[in-house]
Amino acid sequence: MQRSLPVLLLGLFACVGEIGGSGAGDVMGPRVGEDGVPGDTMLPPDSPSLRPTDERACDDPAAPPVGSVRPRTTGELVAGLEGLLGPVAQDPDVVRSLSLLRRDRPDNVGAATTQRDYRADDLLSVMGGVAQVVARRADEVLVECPADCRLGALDFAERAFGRPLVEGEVADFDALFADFESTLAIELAVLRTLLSPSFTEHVVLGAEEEGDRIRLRAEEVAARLSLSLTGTPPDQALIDAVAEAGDAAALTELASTLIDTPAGRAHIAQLLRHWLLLDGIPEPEATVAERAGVDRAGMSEAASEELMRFLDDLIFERDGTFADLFLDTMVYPVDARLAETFGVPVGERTESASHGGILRRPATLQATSPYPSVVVRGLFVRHALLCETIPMPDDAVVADRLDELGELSPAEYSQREIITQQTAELPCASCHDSINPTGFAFEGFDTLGRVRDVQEVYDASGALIATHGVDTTGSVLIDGALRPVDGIEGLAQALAESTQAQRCFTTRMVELTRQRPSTPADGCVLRDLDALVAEGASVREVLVQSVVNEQLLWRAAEETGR
Amino acid sequence: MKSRRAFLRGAGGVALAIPFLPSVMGRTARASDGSPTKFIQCASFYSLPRSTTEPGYLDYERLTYHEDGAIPWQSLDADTRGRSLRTVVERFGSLSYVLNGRWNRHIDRLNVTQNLHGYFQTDLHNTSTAISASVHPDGYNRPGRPYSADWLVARKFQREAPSLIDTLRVNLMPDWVCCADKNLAMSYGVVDGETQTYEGAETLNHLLAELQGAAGPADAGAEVARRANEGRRQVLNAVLGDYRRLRDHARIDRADRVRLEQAVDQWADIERSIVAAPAPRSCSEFGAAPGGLNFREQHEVAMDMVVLALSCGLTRTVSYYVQHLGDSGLTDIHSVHGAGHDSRTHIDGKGLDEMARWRSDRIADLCDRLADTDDEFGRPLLESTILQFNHEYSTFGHEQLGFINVTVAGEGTGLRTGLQIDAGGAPVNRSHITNMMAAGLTLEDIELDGEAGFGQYLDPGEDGTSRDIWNHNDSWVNGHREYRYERVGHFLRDAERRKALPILS
Repeated sequence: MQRSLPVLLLGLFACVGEIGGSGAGDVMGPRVGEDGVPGDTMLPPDSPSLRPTDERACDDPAAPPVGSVRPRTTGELVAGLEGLLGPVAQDPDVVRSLSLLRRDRPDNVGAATTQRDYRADDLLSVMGGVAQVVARRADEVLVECPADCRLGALDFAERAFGRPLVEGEVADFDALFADFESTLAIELAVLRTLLSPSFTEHVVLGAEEEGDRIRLRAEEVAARLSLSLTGTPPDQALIDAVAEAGDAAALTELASTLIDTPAGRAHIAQLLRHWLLLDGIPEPEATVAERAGVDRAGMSEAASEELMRFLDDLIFERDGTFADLFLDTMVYPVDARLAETFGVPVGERTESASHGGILRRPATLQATSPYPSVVVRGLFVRHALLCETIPMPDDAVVADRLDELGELSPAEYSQREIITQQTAELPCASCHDSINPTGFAFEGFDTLGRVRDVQEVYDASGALIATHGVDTTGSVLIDGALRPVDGIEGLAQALAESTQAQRCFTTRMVELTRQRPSTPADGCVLRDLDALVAEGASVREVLVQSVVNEQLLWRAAEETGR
Repeated sequence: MKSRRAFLRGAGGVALAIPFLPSVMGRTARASDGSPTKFIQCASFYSLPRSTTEPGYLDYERLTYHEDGAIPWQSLDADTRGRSLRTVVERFGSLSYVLNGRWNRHIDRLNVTQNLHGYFQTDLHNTSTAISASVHPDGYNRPGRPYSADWLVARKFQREAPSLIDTLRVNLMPDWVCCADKNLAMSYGVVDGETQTYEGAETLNHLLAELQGAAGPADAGAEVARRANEGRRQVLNAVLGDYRRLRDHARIDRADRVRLEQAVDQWADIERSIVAAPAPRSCSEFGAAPGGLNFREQHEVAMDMVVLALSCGLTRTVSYYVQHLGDSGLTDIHSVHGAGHDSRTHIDGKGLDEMARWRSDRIADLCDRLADTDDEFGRPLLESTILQFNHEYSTFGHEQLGFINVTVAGEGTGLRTGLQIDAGGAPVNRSHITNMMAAGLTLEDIELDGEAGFGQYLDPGEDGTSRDIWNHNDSWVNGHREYRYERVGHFLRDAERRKALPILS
């Protein structure tokens, strides 16, 4: 786990700086940005507005969420296009266009969705490429085409917008077909559709106002439901079903059906992938892999797939709970390398004595350094799983501290000893007192995610030159108190029981399913979800209830008007 | 890694034959006069010896150093200082032996940046790829981050407004004896997760014929493109109306309205740019390569071809390899290698300085052609072009090579020019970032993998090779150039990696 961790600028703690860099990896290890000093490029992709330690104030259970329009996420746009294009979505030119969209907006998820600058040129480029393909293969995408492609284009737009076209829109399309030859007219009509905010934005204007609330129309509720749980726009059947749903139970049933569809499961997998920062899993470090006789090519993908299988199986097949996310002992040895790591044969789901849960898996443990960073591992837990915000270290403080200490050779000192010395004093200790013990719990696992008893040290040629015993004990700050922990098992148990971790999870799920930051208006929803988790409800139920609640039907009326 | 022999990617393709929104450019990718910015990446191995290239440094006739400080420097920022190239020419007659009087015509459009450093490179000749970050995907750019500067620029340009040819790649030296598997790759990038390399044309006539074949359909498509432009303006007008109606809706929250206002502004800008754009120009006949083996003549034809392809809109990005050493130039890289170690080594009667000067003259030739040819708006093509001439930053006894980048940028681009720039030991990466940003790229366009900056950044303390680079060059130089090893940590910071030279206007 040597990925770039998003670190928020405002600290949960009053820590004023930290040193995590160049310690463990001073000789062979990773450099700035990889070994615990997140680079200053790392902006928070989805910083929660409500933190686990914030009071879940629930003054008004009927408080509606704020917001009238948000950009559709990259995933939603891609899913929407795939739904519109059908098999033509596999056209190489479409794939290329969509890959540009994915590449350029990788963090357009969760709370970050509403925080990005608008990029008209990006949209124009991507949608322009798609429109050209549709024009080329119009008879495969547009109904009635080639007999009457105008009708096909109108139908395409209605499907894209999820509503009938209004008079002015129809006139726009008619003008294109009157002014331009057929192929160009099709391209232009499709482009006009795909660039319209009716496709690229999720708009909730609502119907009747009731005091400070506006009730949403059925198609808007359906869009919220479908985008939250499947990442795709609603079809007419869902809109009709929402219109007919008489009560919360009926909506819950609809939501439960949606989340179990292939689109729903894939969407939830993507949300969880984002929650766990899985997009940045690197191939493990070469020296260690070579010494272990492991071909590291493709290991990041294999590790990622293994974790996603775990999550999908746990949530959708076994109705796993929040605690199971940490304590479950099933592994999914999708290839021989993982099987060897787990000590089991290649195959489907199987029990492991050494691995399991979110924390004890190669996806979480793999690292680009021969000495996996205590700081990066600790930060992962504190940021992703405890929703803590930890400030950037001051470069000058880091440099001064490293100069003061001089070189601490890994041949002489263990990873733990080096980082402890480097961060023992203020201001570093103000943050590292919580980061380091959390990271120490991972010390029983190496760069490949295998169990280890000793930390091996290599020289520049990859030869083993020293070993150090590993110490996985520490006192971890959780729920505002220090808790003695030994190894990942102990840390997993502590997280499974932690109110802070539970609240972090519910906050993240609300933000990821709604693609917006949480706000005080979400207090009642979060409080109810916290209670569900504490009662041992399944993760699936938590996800459904994070979407289906009183807020689903409303938006705030305040701050509207000009 | 997938090697692509295609040097005219996209040529003849139906989808790109009619450029998509040919006149729709982001504001930053357009020269100030409205012309789309063009980008030419010139590269060569074993070129530009420091002592004979650096402006105002060496009196080549007398083999004495000019007095340091004779022409004062001015601070440009904490790391960078600069002085006027015109002042250097006025005092000494020309910039240097290599950048000789042929360049005087262009000194107001020229930047010569020195004291750039290659200490972030892991290999010997692959360092080289400071050359342009366009030669070797495993060298200058770290594995897993294989994006060359010209590939990134072409990607940006193509996403804005695809040209028929994404990059015109010219490599007139197919019989290169060393490292043919990698050195012929002129540019590279990652497509669908796979590194792609592209080779230059193997013969000039082949390239000319391909271009001629592409030019015909391009001409025929000009009218179609004009109609398409009309239609796209109509579409953007409708989209703009959509956003305005949404923005003005009474139920839009104030916070959301701010973002929608941003969208309205951007669509309005794009629509305006279409209105202002001229109709595409037609291409005329491409010539034929001369017979015989006079390499100067071959480059003259190739450069005419490049200028024509740029002026008629066939492409906006060119990757040009200049490796010959003279009119009857040698192609024996091992001999050149010897000269790299010792400038007294003469090959075919020429020393390394003379060979570099010959190459420098070729680039000056290209600049002349750019200055003498009109762009879409009837202005000199040079004024909407950024040309960077990069070369090897080497080590292990190739002491004379490296640390100077040459850029020519038109008035309409985003660069202040006419400067000799002392980059203060900043990594050569900074020069590339500067030019890419001047071409309209943002950090988002450059940092495709999410890591700060461009190319490879290794701590020179990590391995002996990098230290060797430092030690060799530090000991070789004369007084007034200074590479400060202790500042390496400073330049490794994310903010520094992302910093451009302070010449972006």
